[in-house]
This record gives sequence, structure tokens and C-alpha cells, in this order.
Amino acid sequence: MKRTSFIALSATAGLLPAAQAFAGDGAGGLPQMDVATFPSQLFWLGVSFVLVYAVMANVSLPRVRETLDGRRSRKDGHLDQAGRTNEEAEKVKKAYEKSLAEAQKKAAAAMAAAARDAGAKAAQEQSAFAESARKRLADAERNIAKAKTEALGSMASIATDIAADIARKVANMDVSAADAKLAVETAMKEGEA
Amino acid sequence: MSDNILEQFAIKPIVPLHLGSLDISFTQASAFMLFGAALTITLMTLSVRRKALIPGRWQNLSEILYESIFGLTKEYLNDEAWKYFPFVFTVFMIVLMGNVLGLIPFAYTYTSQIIVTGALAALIVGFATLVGFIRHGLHFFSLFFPKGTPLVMAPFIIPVEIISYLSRPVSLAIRLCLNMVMGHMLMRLIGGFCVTMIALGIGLKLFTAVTFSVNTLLMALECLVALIQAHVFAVLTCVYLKDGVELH
Repeated sequence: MKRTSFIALSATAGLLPAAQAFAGDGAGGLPQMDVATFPSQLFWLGVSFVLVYAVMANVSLPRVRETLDGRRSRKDGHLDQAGRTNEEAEKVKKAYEKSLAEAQKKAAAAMAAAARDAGAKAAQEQSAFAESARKRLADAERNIAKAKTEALGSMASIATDIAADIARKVANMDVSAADAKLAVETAMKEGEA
Repeated sequence: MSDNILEQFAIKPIVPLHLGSLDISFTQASAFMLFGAALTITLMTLSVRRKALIPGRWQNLSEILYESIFGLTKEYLNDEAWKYFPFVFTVFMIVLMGNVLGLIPFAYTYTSQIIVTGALAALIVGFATLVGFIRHGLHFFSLFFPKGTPLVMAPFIIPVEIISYLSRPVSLAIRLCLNMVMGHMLMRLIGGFCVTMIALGIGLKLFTAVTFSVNTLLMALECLVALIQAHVFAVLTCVYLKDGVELH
């Protein structure tokens, strides 16, 4: 209860000035309604307004506008330039890609041609080599066969002589060279078979 | 400190001046008007003297004020915006300075004077009407009889339109003045309440603190009101000028 009365008392104390004001304390209520101050207020308001208007219209606002326009045009200029540079870069990139593709195509063609040439050459050389090898092999075989025949021929004459000698010495038979040769040839044929 | 919450609105002469029989004394209200004007001129002129590409904080403030009010003017007046922009901007800055400077403790709020807001409102509506007459001649009166209204309605519509047109400066003046007066009265009242409680030693400490916090929040609200009312003034200036320029 004490607290409530405190608050009520405080509120009354605070409201006192308000009541006093509205009751009017001899000065005549609202100072706003004091007509005597009007000429002075109008005069100085007029002075301030004209002053502010003159400076704003002729100096300040054009200056701010210039600043803003300058910034805007500069920004637009930069954007334009950036756009142009970007376009150029794009062009260069396209040209580069085109030339790169062309070079790749050329290189591929050259590679294919080289591969074809090399293949053809290799095949040619291989076949030439195979031919010569076959020829030399055939020659060698022929030589071997000839040597073999020669060797066998000389061997047969030696064997005929030896066979005639053996027959004469062992069996005291005089075997004619022709018989001996016939016998050796027969024996050699049997040996081969 | 006086206990009268209306005391703060009283005009106190500093240098008594007379122009003929008129009392044009330089008062504390005049001082704040000139200070506001000087501040506006200084801010808007010096901060952009270098026309920096990357604005500093003062130049940035000037540019924000410029762009917000220009955007507003442009929104209502389109291509005509350039012609009326300095006028709208001056009105806005005069009101803004009055509202904002008035929030500084012990400063005088010249926009709390009905004669000041009334003069500004009369200037705005008068200027808009003048523009209307210059651009449209007597055709300006078609503003009071909107197109497509049946002729029978004329006796009703025309008086209503005329009254609504004439009430423009009144509502403009009273809205701003009362916003300022009420805000300052309330702050003064609650502030005085705190002081009284402490002086009398009857205030509960917690209760005083709460009251003081309320006043702090009220101060923040008043800052917002100061900006909003200046903006509203500028918006309505544009609206009325638009009527003068375009006739609906």
C-alpha cells in the first residue's frame, strides 16, 4: 500500500507542471500563439529559406549531380571497356582454338601419311629382303647339294679302289674296276635305303 | 529550470531588431534557423568540393540526401523533376534541420512553431497553385471537378474538392507542428517527472530508472519522427506540385 501511494504521489508531482502549463501562468498559454513573435519568425525563416535555396540551386545540387554523373559515366566507361576487352579476349581465344584445331588436323594428316609411307617402305624392304634371302638360301642349298654329290662321287671312287684292293689282298681275287664300282654303287644304294 | 513544459517553446530575443513598426528581433529560434541553413549549406557544399570518385562519409551523407530527395521528386514529377528539385530539397532540409537540431538538449525546435510550419505549407501550396495557373491558366480549375464525374454531382463535388484543396496547407502545417510539440512536451513531462521525484526524494529508485528509460526510448522515437516528418513534408510537396504540373 505504501508503494502504491508513493507512485501516486510521484505521478502527481510529475503532472503538476503540465497542469500548470495548461492552466496558463500569466504568460498566455501556448507560446506558439504569441502573435508578437510572428514577424520575427517569418522574417528569419524567409532569410534562411532564400539563403538555402540560392546556394542549393546554384552551387550545391549541381555539384553533387556532377559528382554522381561523373562517377556513373566513369563506371559505365569502365564497364564498356571491360566488355570490349572481354570480347577481344573471346575473339583471340576462338582464333587460337581454330588454329590449334587446324594444327592438330594437319599433324594428324602428316602422321597418317608418314605412317603410310613408312609402312609401304617397310613392306617393300621386307619383301625385297625375303626375296634375296630366299635366293641365297636356294643358292646355298644348291651348293650344298653339289658339294654332297661331289663328295659322294669322290667317296665312291675311293671306295671302289679300296674295295678292289681289299678283294685282291684278302681273297686274292682280281676284281675288275668295273665290277668293284658296281658293287660299291649297290652297297651305297643299300646303305642309303 | 522552469516547471512549465511549454516554457521550451517560448521565443526569447537575443538581439532586438525593428523593421519599421515590425519586430524582427533575432531570437533563439532565428539562431537555430540560420544555424540549420548554415549547416545545410556547409554540408552540401564543402563535402562535395573535391567531387571524389570514392566518397568520404560527409560526401556520402550529401549524396544520400541528394539521391533520396531526387528519387522522390523524380517519382512524382518525372521529367519535370529537375525544375522543382531544388525547391523540394530546400523544404526538406529546412524541416529536417528544424526537427533534428531541436532534439539536441536545450536546442530550439523552430518546426514546433505553427507560424513556421504554416508559412512553409502556405509557400508549398501557393507555389504549386502558381505553377498550376502558369502552366494551365484557367484550366487549372478543372482540378476541382475530376474528369468522368456526372454533371449533377458538380454542386457537391466542387465544394468538397475546394475544401480538400484548401485544407492541404492546414493539415501540412498542423501535422508537423503538433508532432514536434507533442514529442517535446512528452519528453519534457517525463523528464521533469524524473527530476521532481529525485528532488523530492520520494521516487523509488527502480521507478525513476524505468521512467528515465522510457524517456530514452522516447528520444529514439523522436529521432525517427524527426526524419519521417521531414520526409512526409517532402513527399507532400511533390504530390501538390504534381497536381499543379499535371492536373491529376
